[in-house]
Amino acid sequence: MLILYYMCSKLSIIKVSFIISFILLFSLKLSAQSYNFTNYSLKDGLPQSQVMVIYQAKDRTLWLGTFGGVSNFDGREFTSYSKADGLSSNSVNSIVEDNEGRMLFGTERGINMLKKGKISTLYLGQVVTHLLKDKKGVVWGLTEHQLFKVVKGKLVFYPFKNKKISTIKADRHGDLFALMSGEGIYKLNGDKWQLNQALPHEMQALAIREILFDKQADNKIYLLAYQKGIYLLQNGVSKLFFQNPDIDTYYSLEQDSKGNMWVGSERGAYLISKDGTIIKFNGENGLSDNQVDKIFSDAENNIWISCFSDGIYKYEGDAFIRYNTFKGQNVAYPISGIAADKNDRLWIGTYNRGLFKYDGNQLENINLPDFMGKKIYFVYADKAKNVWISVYNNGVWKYNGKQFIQVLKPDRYENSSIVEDLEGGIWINGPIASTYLKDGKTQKITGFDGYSSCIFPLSKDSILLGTSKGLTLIRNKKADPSFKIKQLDNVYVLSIIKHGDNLVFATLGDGIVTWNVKTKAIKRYVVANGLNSNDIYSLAIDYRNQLWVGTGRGINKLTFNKAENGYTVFRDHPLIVECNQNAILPYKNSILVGTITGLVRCKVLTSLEAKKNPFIHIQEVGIYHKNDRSKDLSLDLNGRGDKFYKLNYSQNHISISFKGVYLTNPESVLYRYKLVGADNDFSKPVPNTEIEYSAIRPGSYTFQVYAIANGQQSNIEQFSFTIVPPFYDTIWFKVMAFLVMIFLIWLIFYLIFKTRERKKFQLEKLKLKEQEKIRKQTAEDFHDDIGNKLTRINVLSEILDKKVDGAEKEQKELIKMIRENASLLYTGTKDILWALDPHSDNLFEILVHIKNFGIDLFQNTGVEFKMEGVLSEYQKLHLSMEFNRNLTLIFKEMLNNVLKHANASQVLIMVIETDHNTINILTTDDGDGFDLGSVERGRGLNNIQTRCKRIKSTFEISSIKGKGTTTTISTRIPVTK
Amino acid sequence: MNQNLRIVLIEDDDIIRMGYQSLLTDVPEFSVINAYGSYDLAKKQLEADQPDVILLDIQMPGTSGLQALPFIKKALPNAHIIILTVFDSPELVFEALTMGAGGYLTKNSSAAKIIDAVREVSTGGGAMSTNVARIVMHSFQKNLDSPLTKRETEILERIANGLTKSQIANDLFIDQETVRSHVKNIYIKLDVNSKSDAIKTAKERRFI
Repeated sequence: MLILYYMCSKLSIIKVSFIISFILLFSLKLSAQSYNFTNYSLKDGLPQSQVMVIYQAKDRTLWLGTFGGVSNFDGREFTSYSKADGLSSNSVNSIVEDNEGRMLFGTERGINMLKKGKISTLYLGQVVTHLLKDKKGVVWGLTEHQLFKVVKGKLVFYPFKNKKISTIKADRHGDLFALMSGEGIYKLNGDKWQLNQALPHEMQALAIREILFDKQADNKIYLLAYQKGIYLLQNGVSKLFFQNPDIDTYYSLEQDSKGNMWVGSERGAYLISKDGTIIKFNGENGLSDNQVDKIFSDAENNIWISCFSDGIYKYEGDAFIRYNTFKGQNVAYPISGIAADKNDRLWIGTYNRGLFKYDGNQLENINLPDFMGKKIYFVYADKAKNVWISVYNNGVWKYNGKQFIQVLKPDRYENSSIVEDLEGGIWINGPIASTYLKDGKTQKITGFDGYSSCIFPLSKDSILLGTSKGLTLIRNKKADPSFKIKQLDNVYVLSIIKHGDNLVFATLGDGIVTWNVKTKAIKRYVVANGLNSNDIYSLAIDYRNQLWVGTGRGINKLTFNKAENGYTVFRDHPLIVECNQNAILPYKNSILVGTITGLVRCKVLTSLEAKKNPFIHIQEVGIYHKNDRSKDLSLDLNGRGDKFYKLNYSQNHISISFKGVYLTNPESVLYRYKLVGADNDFSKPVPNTEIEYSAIRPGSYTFQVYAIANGQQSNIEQFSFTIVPPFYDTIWFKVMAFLVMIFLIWLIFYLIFKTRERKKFQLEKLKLKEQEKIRKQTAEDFHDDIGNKLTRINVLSEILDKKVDGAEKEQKELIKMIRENASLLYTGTKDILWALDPHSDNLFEILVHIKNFGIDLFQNTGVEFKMEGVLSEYQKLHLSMEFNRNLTLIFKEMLNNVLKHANASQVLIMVIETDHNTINILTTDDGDGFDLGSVERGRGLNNIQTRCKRIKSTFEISSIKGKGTTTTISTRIPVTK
Repeated sequence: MNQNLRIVLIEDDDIIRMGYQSLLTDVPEFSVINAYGSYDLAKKQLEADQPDVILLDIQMPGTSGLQALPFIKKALPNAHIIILTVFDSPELVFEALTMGAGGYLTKNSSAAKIIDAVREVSTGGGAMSTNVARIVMHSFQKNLDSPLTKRETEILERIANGLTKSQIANDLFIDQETVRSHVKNIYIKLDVNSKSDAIKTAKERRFI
């Protein structure tokens, strides 16, 4: 009350209403629920327990400045740097990351810089309390209240003429502001600092430690006055925003993503919601009673609180609250069952403290002798909202809203599970038998394997029994052994529920098994799929049709993904609790889960805040050469993921290490990767942070990886490379080699063919030669033989001639004829021989032969025979045997004719070359000539004509009686000039 | 009878041999001393026969006429040998002439021709038939280094053209005796120069 009056007198009415509501609410939330904070301290790797500055780098990791050095936290691990690593001092006050990815640490002795794992000293001097980066990337800082900027590694002080700057801060647009004590707030415009807002008069004397610019509205500046509280400066008007008499000193100030303000005091932190609600966090409800030096809101909208000597705390939000005390009552008992009755009151059974009832206000322990301090096995509400309770050694009771009725008497075996079926009958199970209650009648059903542990009504006449040995179907009150789900054989089934088309089975050690009643498809979910544990104790479905499971190591939420026909497992809650079998209840807009130490309330609908994605970046790419170690590479991508690195074909062993940062729930980070060019799809989610590929075939590839956490996907990072095939592996080379091969094969065949051809040809030639030789030989022998025989005839006829008297003219004539014919035969055979001689295959030889024939014929006949125009060049004119024979015979016939009939004195044969460059042969005699029409000569001339035709020549004859005859044979023999 | 020309025949065909023997015997100046069926049969007697002219066949059993030539020439250096054979291929002709044959006749020659040739040869002339003349000319035509003189070549040409000695004599305005001696010279040249390059080359050129 006193407080209220004092406040009113000081401030305006508007503010009063604010303050009043603030106080009212202030008194409320003293219920002893535990808020969820995750603590990281020395035992987790923090180098020192006092964190003075928290900074989040571009890669989403947190940098923490302590008195023992600086540490980088990626959600799982701390990587620390101290003097031993090169820091000038272990006391790190300020941190900033510059545009080149280097970390700058402001310490007690200046500024150190961390680049690629190595620490260097940028500035050695006095303490640097603040470091900040402006929009252009220039680093500004404060050392001993003097403002400077870092230019090329050197400190350049801004001339503020001995004025003290107490703090610098950036607003939501990235503009830098500096608070000059006692004066006002300066803003950085380009290179100059200009007064932006003067401090209102009443504030000038205040010792202002921190300023904070509202993240949702401009012109709202919060000022933390050391011992006075938080003031809000809006449009030049200041007013007190938050002040608590309990607080001596105000240390830190932050605004979260929802717009709520967080204030750190010397004893815990305060959350001031937008609606005015104030929650105090201290040692009693999850935080710490120590001084809160710093509060930080990260990129994932987590709140980090640094507590003196406790390290840092991450606020997990109020998605779930753990109750180990409630309304002053201690409820940290193992909860065995939860149910809501007709009046919507909660009934909670415990394993060692009996039964509790909560009516919305009070939590009451049922201190009836039947229940007090007893072991409760289950608490169940049937359709009529009667509450059924199984008590150790006291049977089963029913509460109908007014009184407790014992329904089942205590038995040898305790009853541990219960369900109402579709017909309104109640099934109560003990380990080896089921009791069926309906309309006042009880029935016992036995005959199943193992110990029963849960029941589920499947249909009108069927009940599914989950046992330690799997599943048993009870049809028409009898165990039906024909029904079996193979995957659940010998699996300890702890709970069964129907969700959509699936029957979901919670098992001990085998995770969750789902069975689609329509398709009979079975799916299994285990730790690898995201569950906290493979021991599933309880199943429930909330009003949003999400499936909640209580496991041996925490609570998971599953949503059914229609597209994949499976569940997505969420690991939202880092709470590690062991849940109890069947102790779960959807209640109002939460799920209540019974654990071995109290209740956990999970909010079904988490605040509609855009969930932040995890962030991944590729840390290092190692390229290993097949043979040459010196050619190994280590690439630091630094965001250049779109460039194609060219690699030698021996550099085909690659390892890529990456890190996904998800501070909200680092345990749930899994990775999916794909090597484009080798894989068709992204891999299943795996926790590996390094992937190795060895013996990659030449080609172009892109390695892509992204992180998933809590169903959120991170950015996709990639690394592209091309492995240049060795020249002998390229398409060109292969094609060329192939062509060359083809060519060589062809060449070989061709050569083989050619040699064979040549051999054949040579053989032919040889054969021909042989043949010719033989022919000649034969002809010679023939001629020889004939010749001798003819000579005989000649000689004998000569002798005969001598013996015949000259008067016997007739005989003499006959003898003469014999001799002539023999002579003709003789020359005839010689002619054959001559024709076969290969040397006589040219025009010259033929003409000479004709000439000789003529000479011989007309020798001693008194006829002058001449042949002219036989040029030796004609040896080059080769003619066939046929031509040879025919031409010879033509002239033999003709000359014989002339001799017999012409009565000539001169015969002349002329060989002429025509204008057309062919050969003509003229034969003239000066004999009697003859009548061309006469038949007598006809026959001979016909022969000549035929023969001429055969040698493709024309035959012309002209004869004048008394003047002589001329014949012309025009051949087609071409003469080359 | 001492002035009769002593003729020996070496011819394997019985009828031809007997026929020629009969025909030659008819010629008053000629006496056929002996007629043998082969050289092998003849060689023992040949020297004793002391022939002036030998008519020698080529195709004979045992030693051929060409093979026998040098032997005969050696044994009877003064004898004139006329080759009388069926065949007159240039190869044979050249072979015979260069080996010392004084003449070469083909068997289809008439008895008159043969008798004429014998007479010619006995008087030291050369019996050259038209064809032989042609052959010799052909060979020398190809060869620029002909060992024959211009006159000899002219005569050779005319013989090749079938002119008789008298015709040649008329043609060249020389007497027959001169013609005959030219022909003899040609033969001698052929013989003497049998080893000469000119003839060798001529031979080679024809005898591929």
